[in-house]
Amino acid sequence: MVFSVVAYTAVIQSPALVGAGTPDMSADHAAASQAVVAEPTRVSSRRREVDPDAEVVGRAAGGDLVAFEQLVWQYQTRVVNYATAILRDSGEAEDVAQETFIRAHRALRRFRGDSSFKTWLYTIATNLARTALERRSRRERVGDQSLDDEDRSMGALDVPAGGPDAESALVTRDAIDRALSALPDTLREAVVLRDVEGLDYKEIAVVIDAPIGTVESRIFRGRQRLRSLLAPLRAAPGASR
Amino acid sequence: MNTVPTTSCDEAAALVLRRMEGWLDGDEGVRLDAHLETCDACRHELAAQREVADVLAGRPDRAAPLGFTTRIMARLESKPAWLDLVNWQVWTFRLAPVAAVLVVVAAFGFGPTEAAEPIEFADLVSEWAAEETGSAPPFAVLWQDDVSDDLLLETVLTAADVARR
Repeated sequence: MVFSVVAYTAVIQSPALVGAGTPDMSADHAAASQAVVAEPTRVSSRRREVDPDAEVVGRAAGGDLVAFEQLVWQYQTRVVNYATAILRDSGEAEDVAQETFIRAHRALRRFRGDSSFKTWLYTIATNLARTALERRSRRERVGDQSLDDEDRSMGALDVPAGGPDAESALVTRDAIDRALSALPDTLREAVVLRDVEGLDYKEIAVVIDAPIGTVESRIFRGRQRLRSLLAPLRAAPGASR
Repeated sequence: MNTVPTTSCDEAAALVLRRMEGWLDGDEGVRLDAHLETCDACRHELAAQREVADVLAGRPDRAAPLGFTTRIMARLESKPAWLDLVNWQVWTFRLAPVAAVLVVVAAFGFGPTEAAEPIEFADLVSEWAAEETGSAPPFAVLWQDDVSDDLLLETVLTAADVARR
């Protein structure tokens, strides 16, 4: 395979990427590596953007519950959607989403605005989702496997034909989530944050607490693995919006 | 003749991601294009990455269930009252009027008071002994500043005599 994961990771995380090229590197390789590193440098040196939620967050941090309700209303679908894509269990996802907002409210006074409120919220949701996955994994280890867990291991996707109605959307979403659930947790987080939630690489790096090179590598490898899992869906008409 | 530097497949992988994000500058784009012209695998990889990203972007959102916000706000509003103590911003804000009243009272309610006479310890002892025995005790002189040596000696001898008896 031309795009070997190891080789890709080596390129993306090579010391050359942080400007420490070794003397025995070929000129071409060094030049390529410099080019590869150019974007993260540009991203990290970009001026901090103003958080569009800063004013409402400030009021909520001062104890204004109406302001906090506004934030919940604004982000509820994003957080529920994200938790569902990560956990593929609507009940667990709702619990995680609800707990995300409760924790956010509790910690709001400590929020320093180093990242945007949205990014911070995704960070809380990610940590809670990880905890839920660990709990699930423990349950599975002691033999408490549910039918849903067995179902999660399915590889093939059956996508019924249908128009863009609600039922079809539900089936499409479940098919995608099933494919996502076949990924290791770290790859799933990165891919979902980028391709489902639309966060940029810098935001994802903050949420999963990893360098941008790692984020890129995980997204690349995640999509590679998803290619075969999503093949039936890619062929199905009306699969994408 | 201009020659385009060669790019390996591994380097192209990184460039593929950057092209999808629209991050490639001119030179990188030229290098990637030159590589893609000769490498089927990388061309397919770029197409596959785009396809997967498109399918995921087309995943229908799962909306929050009905009453989601209401349930969260109900949980927040029903929190125990003692948690307010943790929220110092709330209670300090509520105490602001009380603080203002105290400042006003302190400024206008009490004028300057005359300094009290310093209380001598010896006087206190004498008063106490007088209350107890009806007269000042002989050893009260021990705490007086201006006592003469003779009086001091006499007091000590008297006390010793009393103790002997």
